[in-house]
This record gives sequence, structure tokens and C-alpha cells, in this order.
Amino acid sequence: MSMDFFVNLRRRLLPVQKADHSQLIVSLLTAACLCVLAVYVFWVPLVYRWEDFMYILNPTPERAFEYGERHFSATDPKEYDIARSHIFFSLAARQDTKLQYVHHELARVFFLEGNYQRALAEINTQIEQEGDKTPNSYYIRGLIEGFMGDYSSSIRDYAHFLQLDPNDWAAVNDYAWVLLKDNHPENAVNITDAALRSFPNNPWILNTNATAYYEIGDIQEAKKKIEAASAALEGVTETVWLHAYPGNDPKIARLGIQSFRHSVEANMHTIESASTSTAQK
Amino acid sequence: MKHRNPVHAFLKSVRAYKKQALVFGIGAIALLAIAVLPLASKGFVSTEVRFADLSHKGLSIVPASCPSSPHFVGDCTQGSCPPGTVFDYSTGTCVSSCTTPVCPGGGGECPLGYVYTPYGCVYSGCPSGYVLFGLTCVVSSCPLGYTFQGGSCVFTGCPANYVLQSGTCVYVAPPVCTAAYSCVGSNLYFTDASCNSSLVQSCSYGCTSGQCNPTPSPTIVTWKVHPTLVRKNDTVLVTWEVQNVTSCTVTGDNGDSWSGTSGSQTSSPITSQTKYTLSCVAYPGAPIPWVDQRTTVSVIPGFIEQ
Repeated sequence: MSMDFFVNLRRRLLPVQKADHSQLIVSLLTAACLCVLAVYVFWVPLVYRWEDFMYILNPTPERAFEYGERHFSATDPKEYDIARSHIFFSLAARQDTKLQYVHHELARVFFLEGNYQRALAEINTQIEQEGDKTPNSYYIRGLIEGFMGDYSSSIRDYAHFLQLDPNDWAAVNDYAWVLLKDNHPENAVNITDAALRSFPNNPWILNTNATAYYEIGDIQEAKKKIEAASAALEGVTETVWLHAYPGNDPKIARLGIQSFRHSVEANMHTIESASTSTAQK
Repeated sequence: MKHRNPVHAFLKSVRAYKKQALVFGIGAIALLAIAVLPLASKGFVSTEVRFADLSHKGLSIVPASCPSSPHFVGDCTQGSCPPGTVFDYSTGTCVSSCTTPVCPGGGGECPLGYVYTPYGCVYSGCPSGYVLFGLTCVVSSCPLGYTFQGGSCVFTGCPANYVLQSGTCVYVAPPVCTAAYSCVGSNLYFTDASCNSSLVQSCSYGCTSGQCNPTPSPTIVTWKVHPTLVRKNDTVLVTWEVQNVTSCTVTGDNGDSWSGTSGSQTSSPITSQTKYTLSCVAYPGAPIPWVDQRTTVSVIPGFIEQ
């Protein structure tokens, strides 16, 4: 193709004289606006358009928070939209920084997006404002601190949450996780053993309990628990997984279960190898 | 010619380039579809979906995330138990798992660094100045003179200017002295500014005023030859005493010879003029290396009548 081809193409599409430039610009801008409008009308879901319309009519922080919650739900794949929920939570926080749970939810959004520093800042604001009135904020802060590698702070927050709500298996599991990372395997064994009396078939706790026993050198007990974890994992459906990880996109639940299964299988392989080596000795 | 009606002018512009506008619009929609469609269909993969953290021995720990949502509070619980209890699956009742004396009603408290939950005392972190040793928070910073070993502080010695008193190193202000020499008996000592004394030397001839006494010079206490005029064949008495010498000899021309730093001897019969000499050797290092004295004994001449 020669340069002449492109020049002729341009002349065919845009046969303008210099005096007609302003008319061309008007025409192209009009086309752009119509395209955006067409995309908005036919592409964006009806519920989004309704929300936008209602919010413009009555832009209250409570409404923004409600819309943010709607798109941050793991129960409905069609509604889940973390980017949209981020926008609405930000709008709500900007309008009313003391709205209950707004900083908590923003912390979760930032956490899921991988922005741990912003997540920590938001959850610190939440806890400064509400303290023990929103106890699961301590859980979230423990989770963020654990992901950031600040295990001692995470231990403190999980321990505090367990004082407020000990009946939560995920808190026990995650508390044991940071205990193990901070090199306190005996404490991890104790707490997961105690939790298994309440949640005997929980694959997360069984996996962590097996890991803790492996860390203290009790290979036989670790083997028994990892086998139980593998069996319990069969009962983890997408619904169960999404309950364990609320705030995640329902479309990727299967991916999450696969990842969990791979971890348990790898652990079982390691523990069985160690068990065989110990038996041979 | 300018159009006065802006709406009319606008519509004319659009109609003039409707073909170009249509191409532009279709292209924009196509690009938008290409960019957005793939993202919309795959789903959002958060940071925790594939997250598994390795333990110290290489096993994968999988944290959960519940109850992170305010609306899911209670979704990760088992049963609905009153505060202070947990659900026991084997009995189907709410119980306190706490069985140690530190549990409520047990009369005790959770150890340092632990908080009470129905699971028992759970570790929440040792306070500042403590470190977890096994399952117990112990002091990490030991007092002065102690080192943290094997879970406790072990005494390893007080630093300079500190003395151990009742198990504690206590500061003692260092003494201040004037550097000087001093005598203790026949020994010469030096004391420095920190009042530390050290032996310099043992003085051979005694010590006075912070100095060793110098080697003494020989002293002739007595030197007497009596009488010095005798008749022929008479004898004389030679007496001598010398101090601060190593040895002395007394010799006479007539062959008399005695030794000793002191003595009293009778000479042989004097038959002619005889010279007696005292000669002594001083101590090494003395200012005068030797001393001597001489005395001559004369004989009274005899007269023969003719």
C-alpha cells in the first residue's frame, strides 16, 4: 500500500475544504455524544441507569452506600461490580465520613483490589470512629495486616475480635495463620484444636490445624488432620466458598475452590512424604 | 453568508458530514466493545482468591475472609451461643472451652500477653520489653550486668565503675588521687590518679620521702695506732672500725696484716719505723669507691757511750 492510498482514503472520507473545518468538528462531536448515549442506553444495565437517575435526583450518602452494598454482594453474579461499588462507597464517604461501616466497606474494596495501604488507612479510620461497636472491623484489620506481613499487629487484632465474637471459625483460622507466620505453632495448635470441637468438618481449620501440628513435629496428627481436610473439602460448594469470601466476584468462586484444593493436596503430599520418612527411620 | 439561527446552522453541519460522523461513531463503538467485553465476561479476581501463605516448614495456610461484610455477621458461626461460650458440635450445646484455672470462675488471670476467650487464654502479644519464650512472655531486656540466656536473665558481670550489691549492679563514683611516690618500709610505691598503687622497687638502703636512699659513702669511725713512738721491740695496738664498706685490710711494713671492717690487734715487735695502712672497699655505687688511712710508728733511737 502506498501513501497515495491513505491520502485518497482520507479524501474520500473527509472531503473537506478548509472553510468547512468547523462544520466537520461539530459533526464529529455530535456523533461522539450520540455514541456515548447509545452505549449508555443499550450497554449499561437498566439497574445502573436507574441507580444513576435516582442518585442524581437525591444524592444522599445513605443511598450511595446502599448502591455500593448492592454491587458488593457475592450472592448475585449479575449485580457484582466492585468498580461501581468503589465509586458509590467513595461518594458516600465524601458526603458523610461518619456514616457507619462506610470506611469498613472501603477498606474491604481496597483490600480486594490489592491496595493494602489504603485499606489499612480506611479500617483504622473505621475503628477510631466506631471501635468495638463494629467488631468485625478488627477482623478486617487483622486480615489486612496479615497480608502486609505485620503478624504481631494482626495477632493482637484477631485476639481482640475473638474476645468479642469467639463463635467465628474464619477468625480462629486466620488467627492461627498469623500465629504460625509469627512462629508460635504451639499457640496455633491449641486454638485450632479448640475450634475443631465447634467446627469438626471445617476444611480451612483442619488444614491450618494440620499445618500447626506439622510445624511442631507431630507428623502423625498432621497426617490425620490433612486427610480430614481433604475429605471435608469435597463439601465446599461455590455457595459455601462465597460465604467464606464475601465481597468476591461470584464468577470466580470455582477458581477459589480450585486454588484451595491445590493447597490442601500439596500439603497432603508433603505430610505423607514426611510420614513415610519417619516410618522408615 | 452567516446563519442567524444557531440550531439551523448546527443541523446543517451534521447533515453536511453525516457519512463521516456515521463512520466515526461505528468505529468508536467497536473499539469500546473490544476493550470492555473481555473484562466484563471474566470476573474480578481479587487478591485473596488464590492466596495461600507458606508456613515455616513449607505448608500452605489458606486464610478465609468471613465475617468481613457487615451483612454476613454470623454467617461463619456455628450455632448461636451466648457471650462467653462456643458451640460444641459433639454435645450440640454451647459450652466454654476454658478448662484452666485462669478461666472466669477459676480464680486466676490470663498470663501476661494473653486475653481471655471461651477457647481459653489466647495469645495477643507480649507487652513492650517482653518476648515470647515458648508460651510465656518473659523479660527481653535484662538489668545491667545480666544477659538474656535460655529464657532468663543470667549475671555475667558488672561493668566498670559498678559493683554488685544485693544482685544489682550499683554505680560507684571512681576515686580521685594525686599521682605520687611513697614509701612503705623499704619499698617504693607509685599511686596513680585513680588511686591504684603499684610497687616500683624494694630499696636496698631504705626508702625516705618517696625515694630510695642513695648508696651510703664509707665512714671511718675509728683508726688508732697507739703508741706511735716506741722503744725497739715494743708492740703497738692497732684499732679500727669502718662503716658502709664491704671489706677492709690493715697492713704494716713489718709484715703485719689483718682484715675485717673492724678490729683491735697487737702488732709484731717494732724494730724500725713501721707504717700501718687501713684500706677499705665501699659499697657498689657509693660516691667514694674506697678509703684508706696511714699511721707511722717510730722507734726511739738508742745512744752508745764511748
